[in-house]
Amino acid sequence: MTARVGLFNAIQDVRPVLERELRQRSRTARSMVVMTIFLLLALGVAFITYAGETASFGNDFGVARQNVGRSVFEWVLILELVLLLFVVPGISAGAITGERDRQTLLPLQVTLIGPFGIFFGKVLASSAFVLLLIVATAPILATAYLLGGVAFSQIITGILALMVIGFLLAVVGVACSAMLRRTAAATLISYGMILALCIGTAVVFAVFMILYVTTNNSDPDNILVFLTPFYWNPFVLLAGAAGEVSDVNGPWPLSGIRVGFVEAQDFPNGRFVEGPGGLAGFENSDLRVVPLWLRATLAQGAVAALLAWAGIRRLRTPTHTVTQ
Amino acid sequence: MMPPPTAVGAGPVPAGVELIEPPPRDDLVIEARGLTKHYGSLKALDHVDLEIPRGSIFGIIGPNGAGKSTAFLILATLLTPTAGWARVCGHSPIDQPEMVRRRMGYMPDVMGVYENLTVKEYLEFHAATYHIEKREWPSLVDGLLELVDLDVKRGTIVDDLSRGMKQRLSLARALIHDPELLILDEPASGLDPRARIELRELLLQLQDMGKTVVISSHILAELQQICSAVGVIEAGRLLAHGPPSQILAQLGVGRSVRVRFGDGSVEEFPVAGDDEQQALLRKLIVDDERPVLEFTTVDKNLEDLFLQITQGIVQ
Repeated sequence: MTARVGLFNAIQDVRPVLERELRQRSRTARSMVVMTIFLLLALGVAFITYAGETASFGNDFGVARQNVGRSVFEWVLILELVLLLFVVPGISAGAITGERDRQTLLPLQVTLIGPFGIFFGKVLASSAFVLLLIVATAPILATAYLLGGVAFSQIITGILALMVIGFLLAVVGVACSAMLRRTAAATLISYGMILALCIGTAVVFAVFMILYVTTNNSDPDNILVFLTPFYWNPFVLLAGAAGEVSDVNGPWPLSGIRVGFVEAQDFPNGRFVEGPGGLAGFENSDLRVVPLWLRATLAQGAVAALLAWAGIRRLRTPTHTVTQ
Repeated sequence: MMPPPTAVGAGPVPAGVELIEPPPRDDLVIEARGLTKHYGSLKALDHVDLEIPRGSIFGIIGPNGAGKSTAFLILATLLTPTAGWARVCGHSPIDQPEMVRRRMGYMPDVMGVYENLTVKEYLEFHAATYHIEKREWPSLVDGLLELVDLDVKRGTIVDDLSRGMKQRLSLARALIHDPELLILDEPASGLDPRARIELRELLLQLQDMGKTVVISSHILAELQQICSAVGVIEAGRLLAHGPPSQILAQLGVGRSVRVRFGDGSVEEFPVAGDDEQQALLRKLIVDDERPVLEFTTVDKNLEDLFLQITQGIVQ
């Protein structure tokens, strides 16, 4: 009972911080500027993709229309993810350090708002902005749906995946902000961590593969180990949620990642195994048991949970040293 | 078992002596015994004993880096001491911080400002942070703004207020949950004379409302006018503690008599009270047969006390 009351209070604590953050953000020009740039870039990518695809198909547009829709959908999602990777640390890494700089953290810490409320109030404020950005671009994704090649459920899962990634990125930014004293350092470390997730996972995978080839170990069980680093890659999470694994007809980034993932599972054969119901390799793989998007969400969620724990711990008072 | 800390300005507890907390005393809003805080080799607080009566205005005076803010941070539930214990409003700021926070308002030396929030929104936000019901906000905010004389500024962006107004708003924030104790770290710092006078009157008003105020300041004349007791702190040590007149009397510097003699020379003699003053004059005129043209009684103030007690030690 006590635990439930404590949890309820902790969740209730989020609200004042969230409301104030949203009120402040809504009054700055910065939010509008970021949203405008975000929308313009998404529109630009959608238009370029559409123009490129229609030009390549010429008069055969009717047949290839669904490929155009798929291309627009995937490239816009990819762009949104790349933009989130840049934008979210920028807006979240100053969340706590900004309070310290403005000397507003101590008055907040002597209130009844606990560290959980402060931390997740900040995270949700950043996530709310992410949600706004994603919702603003939803009509562009809806256009892709109208063109065909994309199921409505994929539009929804794509948007949800972006929101989950935005939330996880906000946790990374706010945690760095809680643990470090200066906004510049928190921003730098946040970008470093995100770079490690995006590029570092690929590098680790490459190292694993090189080791695999050089040791000539053909034990197929090792493949799963090689794939493990990619579970921490946000692009893999998005690909798992919105990518296609059957009837892949184009240079689509998300489907490419997802198919590549399935192919890698069949390594060293390096090919799909044909069978009833489409791709037997996929049907028989672990991906079917635990979907790729769920694996990636759990892996990245675990990192975020660890960082959130460290960040909340850093905000706990009384403490041994007060940083102002 | 150790006796309860009763002596005003009691000496520090020797290192290694175990401190056992006595039962809480209703007449005290703050009790501390052997309060110590080390930052590496730096002793920010060194075995400080403190007793602050309920309903008083208690001033902490000391030079920069003396340990005033460290003591306030511990009492305000933000910092853990290295040793010793404290009790604020009957609760431990270390083990029961939430209980203390419900009863204590803290105002740090610098007022932080949220961009783009109005005065009203600023107070409403802090009302929410103390879980005060939303329906109570309008009357609460109105009352506080009236108290700190900012009612005409409710729609003004906080950042646009003058420093004095910001300090008053900060005080209103510290009062938002109607605490019985206020801990104010340098509230008069950087204020012009008018703002200081307004703040002083406000603090006296709060005392009339039954609140205990613990305040630190560099402006000793300000403290002397409002404080019922003071603590003098230097290099982390509480050097004296109690009503200013009592400390001055203990130090023997409570009063002096400035005497101008017939030959034009002027001398000053310390005296403890009226009797001693009369005895001094009788001795000078009758016994020593010195021609006294004029004598003036000089009462020592907080500045004299401060200079008498502290040595200008910088850590």
